[in-house]
Amino acid sequence: MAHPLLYDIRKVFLSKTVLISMLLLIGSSFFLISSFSVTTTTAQLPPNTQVLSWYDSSGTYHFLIFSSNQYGQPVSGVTTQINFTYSPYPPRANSSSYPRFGAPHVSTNSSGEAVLTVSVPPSDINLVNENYSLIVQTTQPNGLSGGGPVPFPYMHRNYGKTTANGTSSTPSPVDAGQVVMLVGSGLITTVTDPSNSLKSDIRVTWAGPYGAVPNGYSLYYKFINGTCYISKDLFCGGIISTSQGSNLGESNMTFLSNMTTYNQIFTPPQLEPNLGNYSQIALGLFYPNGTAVTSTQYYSLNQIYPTPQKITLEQSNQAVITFLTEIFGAFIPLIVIIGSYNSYCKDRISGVLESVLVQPISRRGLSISRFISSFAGMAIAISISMGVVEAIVYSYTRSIFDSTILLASTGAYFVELGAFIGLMMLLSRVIKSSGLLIGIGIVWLFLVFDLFWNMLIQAFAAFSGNGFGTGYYTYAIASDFLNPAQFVQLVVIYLTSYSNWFGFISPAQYGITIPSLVATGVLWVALPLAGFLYLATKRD
Amino acid sequence: MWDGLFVKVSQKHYATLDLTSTQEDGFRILIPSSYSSINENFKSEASVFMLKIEALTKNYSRHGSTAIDRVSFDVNDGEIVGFVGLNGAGKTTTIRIGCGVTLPSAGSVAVDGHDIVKEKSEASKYIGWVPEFPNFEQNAKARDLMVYFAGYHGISKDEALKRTKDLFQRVNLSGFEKKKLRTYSQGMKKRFSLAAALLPDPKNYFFDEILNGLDPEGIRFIRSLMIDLKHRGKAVLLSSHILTEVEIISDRVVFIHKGKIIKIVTRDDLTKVGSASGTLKIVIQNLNDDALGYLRTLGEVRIEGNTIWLSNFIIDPTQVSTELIKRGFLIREFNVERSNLEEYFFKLVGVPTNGSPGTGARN
Repeated sequence: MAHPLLYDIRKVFLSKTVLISMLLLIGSSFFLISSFSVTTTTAQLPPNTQVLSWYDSSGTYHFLIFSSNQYGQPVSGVTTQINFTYSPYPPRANSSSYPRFGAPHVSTNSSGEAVLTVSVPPSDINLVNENYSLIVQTTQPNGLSGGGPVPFPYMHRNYGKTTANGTSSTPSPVDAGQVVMLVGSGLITTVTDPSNSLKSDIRVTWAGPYGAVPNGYSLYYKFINGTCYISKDLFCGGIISTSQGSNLGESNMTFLSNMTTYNQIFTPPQLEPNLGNYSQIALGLFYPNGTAVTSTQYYSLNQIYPTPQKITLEQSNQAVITFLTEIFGAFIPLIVIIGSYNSYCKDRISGVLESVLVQPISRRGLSISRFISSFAGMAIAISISMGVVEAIVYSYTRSIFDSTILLASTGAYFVELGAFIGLMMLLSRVIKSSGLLIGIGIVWLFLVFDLFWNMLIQAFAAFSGNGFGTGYYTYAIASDFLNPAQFVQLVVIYLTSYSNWFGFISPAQYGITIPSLVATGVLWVALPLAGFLYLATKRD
Repeated sequence: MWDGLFVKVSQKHYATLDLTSTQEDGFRILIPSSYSSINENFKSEASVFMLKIEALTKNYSRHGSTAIDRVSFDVNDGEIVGFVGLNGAGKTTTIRIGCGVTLPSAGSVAVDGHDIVKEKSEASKYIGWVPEFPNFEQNAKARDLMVYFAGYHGISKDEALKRTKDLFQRVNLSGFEKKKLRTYSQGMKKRFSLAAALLPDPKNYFFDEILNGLDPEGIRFIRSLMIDLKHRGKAVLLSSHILTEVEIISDRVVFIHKGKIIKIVTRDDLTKVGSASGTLKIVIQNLNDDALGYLRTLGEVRIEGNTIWLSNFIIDPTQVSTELIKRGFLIREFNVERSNLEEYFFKLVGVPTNGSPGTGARN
């Protein structure tokens, strides 16, 4: 049997107005997402420059420069200049008489590499080590330049000596020929995978003693479970690794690959099963003799793997609140008003419904059937819209909404959906004009209940002498209980303790509890529906 | 023309009762005179009153008016009942209540014993309705809508499609099954509405001005359809302004005026009444006083040249022509210019007739 209810649901879902509203919702989300995207991975970012350095016993400083884009691919034409500038502390009166040491500009080649040396006369080497700053200046092919002082003194050859201004330092850990990274975010970093912007690759930039190619240097990894040690409701404020993450060395890590060049990209290892939300990957670079080049680097899994990163309040409350309460909040009532009008109200007023009413179905049965079909058809439309919007958010931010917030918000929207359908159908039983009905629907339910509710409450509060303090909060939130369009706002406040209008608040203090939300939701669906059914059954 | 009722005489057998009236206007009191036939194939359940309308009243509180006031009549199995009245008399209101699309203020409609308000779902199984102005979902395809309606009757999609094909052929809509209803003309919508009403093969039909806007061929089709329905034991309530058709096809006629039933007449009674109130147009080539004298003995005569208008005559019109020819008059034209029902109707509702031909109850 071709069930009429399925036909009605299909009719609602495929109605032009519902489909257009869906497209508007999705289109608006697509447009707005860029305004608060967490990370834009598709845009070409400025070149990233790393500088390795060492010195030799003749007093020459060597600099190995690497420029690459966000994918780790070499960028040629980036010019670099390095100067030693006299900058004692405190400043001395005769500082202008001290010589400057520097080198001419060099540009990175097609491999993104450049080499530069600065020679300092042996007689001045101590002076340079103790009183000079190292200034690195880079200029990109597009003309943008940047640079400044870099941490230089820790590589002093004579670091442990008493300096000219009388201070004493610990012995320098840097020997002649030992490479240090002067500029860069670390010798093990992540870059965007060029074939999948949602995942990252591992980049290692390093050199052997005196700038030798790091042949035989090995990259090791280890997956480590972690736990959230600062937990509040849905959010994790901090992650701590388990004991698996301590005392890592080549012996208890897994070999990934050997290095063959200075600047090398590695594909991350396959994820191990049974890794938790807070698991991490530890990465370590080891000399051929097995000792660590530097301390182990830790990355959370979602920094490297395309595992969806949940948007939580801490990370992107703007996105969650804006999408769930503002974007959906604005469009869903509109979809419901127009959808209800098309699915029932218009047919009821125009008399089309009589062709159905003459069929073997009671007035109550037909009314309930139309309510259910309207609800189901639009619930499907809204669910699909939310799914598509989430996919858009994900594609831009590599993040998804927290499932608890999303499910609860969807439930809240279904309450709003039921309430608005009931109200529209109720109105159609007392208003005989299509134009008037849709006008009242849009003005009352959309503009007053939805778009301008908070402004109206604010204005009302201002006129009635209530300020904008805690008293106003109570007043405003109480008014939200009287408006089905604000129900989702109450649910989000309950879940996040955060309101777009009031910031962080305590939900219970304002009566937002599970029982009050359930009771409000049930009443908002049941009352308009009951009124509608009464009129549909008892009156023409 | 068949007159009478089907009654159940055994578990499988139904008989047709010939009926005679017991009084001159005894249109409500019918007694069986004989069992004239037995039809074994007639499977309809025996129920004397398939549609029973009792004291039906509809008040519109908003307007403070009463659309219909204690309307009572019934339609039997295998009977076509004409429903006649001026505009606003309450015909459509009565039919809409009977179909369950409007709620009554008082009174009841029983469809095969099921109250249309209290047992709406059950009662509606036995109803087919063709409204005066069919109004369907404009963007739906005709075939889809037929399947949708069939769903309410528990008819499978395949069966619904099969019936749709047959019915569309029958109502001359073949080839338009997949068209959206917004592309249909008003006449096509009416035919679609008829197909939708016939889809579940219900026992009772409400036809509200079904003949309006139809061409002669369409009228002939509807006429034959109703006769077929009648012979299949269906009950048909026909509201129409085309009183000649109502007169031809109806077994009884219910007259409604200003919301009240003012008369219910049977076909036999109508013939008698009509024979005394019809108007004949006679054109006699050799008209003279003899002819006029003879005609004046039959009724009221009005003369326009060679044309004579004879009204309120008391014998069969064919006897008039026979007698005139017998008396040597050359008849060039002989027509019944006004239906008996129409004439009778105007008398009932008190609307003065001007005697000129062609005036009817037009709305």
